[in-house]
Amino acid sequence: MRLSRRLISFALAALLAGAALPALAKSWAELTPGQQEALSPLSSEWDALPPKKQRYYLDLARSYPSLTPEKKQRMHDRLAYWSKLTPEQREEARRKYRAFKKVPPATREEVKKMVKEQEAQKAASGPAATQPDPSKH
Amino acid sequence: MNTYLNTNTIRELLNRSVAQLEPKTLAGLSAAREQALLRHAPGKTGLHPMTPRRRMVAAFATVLVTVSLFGGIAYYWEQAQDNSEADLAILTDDMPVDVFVN
Repeated sequence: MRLSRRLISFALAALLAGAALPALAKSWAELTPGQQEALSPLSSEWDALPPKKQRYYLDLARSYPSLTPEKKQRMHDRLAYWSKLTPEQREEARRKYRAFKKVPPATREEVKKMVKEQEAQKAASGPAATQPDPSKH
Repeated sequence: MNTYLNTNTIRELLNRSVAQLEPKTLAGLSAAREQALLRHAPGKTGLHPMTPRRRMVAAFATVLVTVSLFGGIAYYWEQAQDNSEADLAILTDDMPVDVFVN
């Protein structure tokens, strides 16, 4: 019985510690230069973000140094747009992305080519050509 | 009239009173005393003494709750990690984001 109580206490302590972690918010000034560089598109809104969201972006920032310059640029272009999406929209995007990853590589390349062609046509013909849309990068 | 009562006097009075009780009542009191002593025996807690079977069930339930708890936490972190990887891929892929969003 004493062992059971110890186990329950340990489990509760672990749960409380886990619940307390997300409550730690970090101000923009507290971030490392590397984190600031990775998350620079969010600098103006960072301090107002809930701790849970901050932790999510800090997770993303951890992979930033290993990205190619091209991918870093894409991430910067898209981050502000991505942060405005609702959790449902993001979940839907993940679902579609995972489904797309399961498509055979050859088909995937064809789809990418098609999308790029469509984007180029739209950019050439529409007025949006002069106003770059972050989601299109 | 003042009667001085010390421990011995009280014990004598009680013994005399007990001697006047019916054997059936005495047996009932004795059984109740035994039960009360059992409950307060060293290592026993609560009103129901823990039998080995109860102890085993309690230990099993505790392990089950603990495993479920840690399993739940592990599942949550794994999901968060999966989402983080997918999000990074979406944010850096050469496919435009709106292909996946809309």
